[in-house]
Parts: sequence; C-alpha cells; structure tokens
Amino acid sequence: MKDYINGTLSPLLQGDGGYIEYIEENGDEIKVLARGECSKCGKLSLCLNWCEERILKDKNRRVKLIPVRKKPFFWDK
Amino acid sequence: MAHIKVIRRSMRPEEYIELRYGWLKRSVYGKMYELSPVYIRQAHQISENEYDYYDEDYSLLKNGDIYYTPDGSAFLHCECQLPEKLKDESDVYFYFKTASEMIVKINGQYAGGVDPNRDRILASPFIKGDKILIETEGFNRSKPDDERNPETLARRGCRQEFTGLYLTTVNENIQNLCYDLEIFTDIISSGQFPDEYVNLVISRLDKALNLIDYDNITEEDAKKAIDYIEENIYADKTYRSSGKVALIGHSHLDIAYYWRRIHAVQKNMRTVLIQMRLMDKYPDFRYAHTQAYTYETLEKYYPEVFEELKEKIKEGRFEIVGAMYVEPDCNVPSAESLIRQCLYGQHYFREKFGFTVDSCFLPDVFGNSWILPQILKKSGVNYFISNKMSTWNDTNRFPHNNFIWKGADGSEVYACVPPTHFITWNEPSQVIENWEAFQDKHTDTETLSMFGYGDGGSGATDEMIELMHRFEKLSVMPKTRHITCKEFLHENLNEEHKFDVWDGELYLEMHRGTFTTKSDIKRYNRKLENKFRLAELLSVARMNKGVAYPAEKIKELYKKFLVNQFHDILPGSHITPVFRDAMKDYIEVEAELNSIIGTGDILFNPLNIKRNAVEFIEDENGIFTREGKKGCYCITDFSPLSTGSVSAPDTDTSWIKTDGLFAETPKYFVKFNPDGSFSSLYDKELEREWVDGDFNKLKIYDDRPGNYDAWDILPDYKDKELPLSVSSELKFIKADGVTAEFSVTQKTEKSAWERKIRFFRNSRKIEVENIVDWHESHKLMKASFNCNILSRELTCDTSAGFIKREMHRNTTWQQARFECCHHKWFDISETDAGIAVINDCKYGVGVSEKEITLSLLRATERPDPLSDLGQHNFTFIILPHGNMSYAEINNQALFFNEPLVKTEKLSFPEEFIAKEKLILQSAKKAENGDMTVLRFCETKGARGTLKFKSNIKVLNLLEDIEYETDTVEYKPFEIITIGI
Repeated sequence: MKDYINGTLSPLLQGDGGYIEYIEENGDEIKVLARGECSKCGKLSLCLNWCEERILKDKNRRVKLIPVRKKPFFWDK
Repeated sequence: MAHIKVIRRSMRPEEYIELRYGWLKRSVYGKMYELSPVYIRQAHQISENEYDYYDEDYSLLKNGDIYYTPDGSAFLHCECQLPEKLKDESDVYFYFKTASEMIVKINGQYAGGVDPNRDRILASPFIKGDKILIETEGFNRSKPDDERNPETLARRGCRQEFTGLYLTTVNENIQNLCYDLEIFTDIISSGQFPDEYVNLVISRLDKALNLIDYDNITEEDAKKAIDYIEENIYADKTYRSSGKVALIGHSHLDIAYYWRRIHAVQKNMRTVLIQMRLMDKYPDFRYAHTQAYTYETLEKYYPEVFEELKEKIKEGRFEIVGAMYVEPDCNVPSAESLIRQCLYGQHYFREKFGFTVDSCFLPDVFGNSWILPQILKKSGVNYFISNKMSTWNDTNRFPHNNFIWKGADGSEVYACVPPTHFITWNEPSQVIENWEAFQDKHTDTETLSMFGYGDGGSGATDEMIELMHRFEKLSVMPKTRHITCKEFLHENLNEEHKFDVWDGELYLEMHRGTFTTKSDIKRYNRKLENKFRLAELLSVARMNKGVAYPAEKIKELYKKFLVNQFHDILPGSHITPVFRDAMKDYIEVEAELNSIIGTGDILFNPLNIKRNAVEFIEDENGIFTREGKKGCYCITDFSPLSTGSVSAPDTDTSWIKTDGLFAETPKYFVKFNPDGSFSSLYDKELEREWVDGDFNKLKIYDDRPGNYDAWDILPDYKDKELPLSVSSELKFIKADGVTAEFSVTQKTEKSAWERKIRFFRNSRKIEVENIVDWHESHKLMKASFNCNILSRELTCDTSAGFIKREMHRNTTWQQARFECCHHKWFDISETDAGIAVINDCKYGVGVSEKEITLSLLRATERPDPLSDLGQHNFTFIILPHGNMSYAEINNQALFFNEPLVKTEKLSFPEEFIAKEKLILQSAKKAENGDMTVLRFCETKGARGTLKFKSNIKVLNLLEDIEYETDTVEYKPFEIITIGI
C-alpha cells in the first residue's frame, strides 16, 4: 500500500503541484501526509475519494484516506 | 478631545455602482439551453498526444457530477438537436463555465476554447442544420496562485463539479453596458485618475444606471444607459491626459512550470485557436506569439489549425515574435546554446513562413547575460524585449524602458523593458500606470503595454479588445494604438530618436536562487553542452574520412536539449514531473551523443589549445575514485586537437608531508581545520598567505525566501547560519607520485557531506570533490572563500569572455547583486596574483566585500517538494595563481570541463586551430550541408587578426555568408563564425 500510494497515486498529484505520502495505516484507515498544493487545497477530500476508488480498483481494498496537511505552506498563516 | 474615526457604513455611490454592475452581469446571457446527454471519458496524458484512458468508453456525465482526476484530462462528447428557439438566432453561443482548459470542436470544426478566463464561444459559424455535436478536449490545469478571477480560483483543484454545457444568446446591449462599466469601475477604484474626474464619472454613471429597472433588466433600458454614458461621460473632454501607449496582444506560455511539456501542446493550441477566433470577430485585433517550438508542436499535432494559422500570419494579424526556439533562461545556457536557440528558431521560421524574425521576445526570463546583444545581432535580431527588470527588481528601479543595450563585445541592439507586467487585462488603470512608469518620455517614443492572460497561455479576451476600442473615446487616457510588436519596434526604436545606452548585463534583482536550484539539471546542461561540441567536432573530422555527418540526428537531439533550457525548466522553478521529464530527456540525449562520439584507443585533446596539465584519467587500476570512476591523475601534454602523451604517476610519495592537520606540498604549507577548511594556505613559490578567514569552508544557511521558494535567495540569508558538525575529521587518505588525497565528512541531522581534497605535486590547483547525501528542507549550502586578496572586483566567466562585478557595497546596485551567475570560473586577483575557483556544473556565486561563496545545493519545496533531495557528486577546483591572464584561467577551466577523450586517429585542418588565438567554440556541418562551420570565441578581451591560407567565408550565426576573405579582424569577446 505504501508503495502504491507513494509510487502510483502521489506522482499523479505531483502533476498538479501536490504531494501525498503514506504515513501509517490502522485497519482500513490510512494516514497520508499532504504537502505542496495539496496542503491547502479545498478539493482535497474529493481528490482523496478518487484515490480511494483507485485503491479499491487496483488493490482490491476499501480504505479511508486521512490527510495530515503539512502547514504552513508559504502564504498560509 | 478624543478623535473618533467616522466610518460610513451605508453603501457609498461607487459601491452601489459595483452592485448594479454585478446584477447586470447576470443578465448578459439570454435563456440557457442545457445540452444533453453529455458523455465523458477521462484519461491521464502520457505524451504529447497519447492518453491512458481510465475507462473503456464514454460514460454519462450529469450536471452536478464530479469530474476530472489528479493530473487528468477529460474528453466530453455531446450530440443533440439544436433547440428550436435558437434556430433563427444569428449569434448562438456555446457556454461552459469551467476552471479547466478546454479545446472545443463544434460539428467537427475547431471552434475555440474555454478556460478560467472565458466561458463562451460563438457557435453559429459552425452550426449547419438542426444537429449540434460538441467535442471537447480538456486539461485540468492552471497555475494555482495569481489569477484574476476569484470565482474560478475557488474552483481550482484536481477535481471539478460539472455544471453543464449550454447554448445561449448574448444580450448585446447589456453586454456592451457591462464593458462600459468595466472601464468606469476600474477608473473609479484604481486610484490612477484625477479625483475630479472620478467624481464626475460616479455622478453620471449613477444617473445612467438609474435608467434601468433591476427587477426586469431589459435590452431597451441597457441601450438608454449606454446612450447616456456616451453623451455624458465619453463625450466630456474636460479632463485630458498625455502620453502614448502601444498595446500589444500577447499570451505568455510557459512550456513547463506547474504542468509538463506534454501539456503545453494543448495549452498552445487552445491559445492560438482562441486568438484566431478573436481575429475573426475583431478584424483589427493583432496578437504576438513566441517560440518556434510551439509552432512546431501545432504543426505536428494540429495540422489543420496550423494551416489556418499560416493564413493569419500571412495577413499580418497573427505575428511571430522572438527569434529563439524557446524562451530560454538567459543566465545559465552557454553562448553556443543561446546561438543554437536562435539558429534553430530562425531556420524553422524561415522554412515554414519564409522570413527571419528580427526580435528577441523574452518577457519572463530571470535576467539576461551580457553576451546576448552580440548573439542577437549576428542572428538577424535588432530588437530585444524583456519585462522582468522593470516589474520584479527588489531593490533598484531599472532606469530605462526604451534604450540601447550594449553587449560585452560592443554590439548594440535596441531594447525595450516595458514598464509594466507582461500579463495585463487591458484595464484603463493598467494602461495609464504603464505610461506613468515609462522612464524614457524624453525620447518621444511610445511605451509598450502587453495585454492578455499568460503563463499557461490563454491570451486576450473579448473584454480586453472591447475595452481597448473604448480608450480613444476617453480623453483622460493616454493616446493608445493597438499595433503589432514589429510596428512598435520599427516606428519607435530607430535612429530618429535618441536613446540612452545600457552597457552591461541585465541583472534581475530577484530569482537569484535559480542559478543553483535543481543542481542535477544544471549539471546535465553543462555536461551535454560540452558533449554536443565534442560530437559535432568528431563528426566533422570523420566526415572528411567519408563517414556521413549525422546532421538530422544532431539537430533532433539539440532541439530536445534546448527545450529543457526553457526559463522554468533549467532554472529549476517547476513541479516534480517536469524534473523527471528533463532528466529522461538528458539521459536519452547523452546516450545518443555517446554513440555519435564513439570510442577508440587513442586519447585526444578536443580543444584547439595546447594542453599541459594535471588531469584525471580513467583507469580501472587507478588508486583514486573520482565521481564514481576509478583512475589516476597524470601529467598530460597534448597539442591542439591532437593526440599527445600522458605521464602515469610513479609511487614516490615523498613530495607530500602530512602531520595531523598540517600538510606540506611542493607548492604549499597547509593548515587544516578538522572540518576540512583551511586556516592557512601559504604559497611557497609566491611567498604569500592566501587565507584570511573561512576558506574552503562549508556553510549551511536557513533558506526560506517565501512564496518564490525555488526562485529566490533573500539578501539576508547569511543571518541564520546553521550548525554543521564533523562526523569524520579531516585525514590523509592516500597519495601517489602526483596526487595526495585527504577526506573529511560533515553532517547535519539529515544529511552527510563528504569532501575529498586533493593536492598535486606539479600543479597549484586544489581539487575538492563533494559526495553528498542531501535530505534537507529550506537550506542553502555554500563553500566559502575568504581570500587574503585586496580586490574590488570579482571576475566571472560568461562562457564567451568574462564580466567584472564590483565586490564592494557602495550603492544599492552592488548591494542588490549579492548573488550572481557565472559559468566555468570566477576569480579575484591583485595585480600579480589571485585565486580562481573552477567548476563544471555550478553557477551561483555569492559576492561581498570579503567573502566569495560558491553556491552548491538548495533544498526548496515549492513548486517541487522533492527538489534536489538525494545523492550528489560534484567537484570544483581552487586555483591560487601568480600573474595569470583570464584567458589562461579559462583554459584551465576548459581542461576541467572538456576532458581528454578516447577516439580513433583523427586529423584537423589548421583553420580549426586558429593559431590558438581564439577558442574553437563549435565545429559543425552547415545546416544546408554546404560547408564546415567553425565558430571561434575571443576570451582574453583582446583585439587581433586571424590570417588564413586562402579565402574563407565569414558567416553570421544563422550561417548566412556575409563576405569572403583570408583575413579576419576580431575585437574583444567577439564570436567569429567562418565557413570552409
């Protein structure tokens, strides 16, 4: 799962200036570090929903991704 | 008595005008007819025109659905009946509100584009019959920071909500009233216009807007308001402005930045298409577009649009500007790279459109090297345009806008640094701001104001053109002309006007970190610049032996390489996937160049200068490992462009004496500190001490420049130096008859930095190899040199000669220039001695009165959180010297950058050597195949004469023959190209 998130999903988000990184999993909950544009994105939950769909399709696991936003991101106060 | 600030809480008249403007905007469109069914197919773009589709086929997309995926593209398809009520409408519009960027086809024809800056396309010209077929090709990307429209800004993100495709009509009077209101609300709120005039506008606009019933906004009422405004505001000429401003339509297109190069193909296509559709609607509209590469991609992937574009170019409405292949960074590329940018750009324009472009158009580049004027002038370019220095300098106001730029060799081009940004939306306040900021009013010329959305393309909008058409009715505005860039340049920058001359580099007082960010890209850039030279040189020699010259292959590789010099790729200001693309390109180009270069049994000197030095020679049995390769240091003796001898080292190590932190070589007494820095470097021959403070010392600084993270280094970066501990103290490792190697390792909590420091028995140079495991965040690592030298000038290699920069901080100009770009070397000297530092992959140099620093690595996070993390291995040379000319230092740097190569026996005519007076910068077959082209560069700063046995052809940089002669006179820093 770590390899899939860091190696398959994260590069897609990097294409938008974002970045997610696997932190840990607890049952079906997986914590991901959200950096770059993801750290301040208002659409992150929608994006992670899509990532969860991809995980279900590619890894056959139903998971919940819990973002941990790395702050501050530049102009963020 | 206490002062009580009175705040008016009720709505002010200007606020009420804004409010009513908002109501009117909602009534611009007639009835909306939603198109259905809409089908979608989502994908991930994997190359310029290839996609990995997420679904086998199209699926239904309903209003309110979430669509787009991270780094995703979306294709929409909708075929339906034309609504009955629209059949008789003359102007039917396709409407789609989106934060993405869509190319739209209607009934199979490219109709236009929608994006965050525009939401409608005139559909009528493409509607035939009762049916309508909409096909869109979309890309969900825009830069995330500074767009004008907050509504679309809020919609940004990898995923979007679909709000439907519509056909509609436009209420022309309401729309025109909105354009008027855009003008006057800008005049009211900008603070750029006289208070009296603003009050007049508020009062009369209020009356005009009172003519409308806001419960039932009608075209008739809108017309009454328009007429009132015409008669009472536009017609009032009481208030008059001065000035003359040329308005140029343009869209800045970053080939890669927050998107990959593959996405720029569609960005460019959408931009070109939108501008051509504007030309269809507005016959007077002119638009300027740069970069031969973007024209190439349009030709390759959208040939039918390219054909239409050729017509618009022929008509003089769509204008090609900028002679270069892309808009490259103009600090880091070498002279030969910049020449190739012009050569391949101009040859493409000549081949496809039949003319040479006479402008260099680089609105967004981060400063411009002093070598550019000569390169431009000899590439058919008389005009240079670049905006950054006027709007982005952080300390000094660049003193000119229209001027003459004089290059290092004395060449002059007309230059325009427009007073305002290259992205404006043609608001009256932006135009008047441009005029007021114009500093060359005394030249009696127009000032240049560009309009159009940019960075990711997009360009001008209907609104920008409509506003422009109203400017001439406004006496309060400067006189404006919408003309082509060429008309502006030719009619203003000419001999009829007297211009000031700027003699020097165009240094940008900003983005100083871009000389260092993404060190791997810089390293490959230098390495491949040298490999291109070698591949062409050897291919020319082999051509004389009957081997075919790989002209097409070299051109293809060069173009791939030049794209990566784009000003958000080479400087390092881009997202992670752009870096990966660049590295992939570099690896492919290097492999191909290696196969052209080949190998052999003979060591060959690829330089046209005599080579007598201590050099690293790869050898599997060598006792030293340098940058991952085994070998040993040998004394080399080679004639120019020839084979020679290499003296292998013996095992006598008696020449090096070490005792703890002390070493003695035939050249120096050295006292080290445990961290590998030198507390003393005493020169035995020159009988002088070189060290006065920290010397060869690694220094790591907190590096947090803010939003422009990858771009900037702040002036006060030295205020927060961080600890760097020693994990392995400096110790002597090994020696042979030529070389003695010491090693030291330092570390932070996250990174390890090993240095191998090598002294030589027969050379004054000291080599410092750096082996780095780098995992920092917001850090800048530098190597510091405090030299016992009294000098006020730092001399830096420009790749085609040198430039001297003041080290003192007397004025704000020197203070602002605290970090500069150099190429192979920098040097500080007294009359008879000095120290040079030579590199093969570094560009940033920190300048102060005493301390000179070589910038080694950064660790920035925006736009790429992974920037520069990982392994690095690079070497630089410290070269204390006696009375050594800059040309001799340059030769030493060339030895380091262009090592001996193994090849077969080759011979070169004596013209190639040019009696070692000039450096052979390039030898290649002419692009037309007619001759061998030799390019020489004068690096000493001296005049001279080259005498040939028989006539040669003197060429410009585009390889046009200028004249024939057997004698060429050259001046300091001149680049001479000849054909034989």
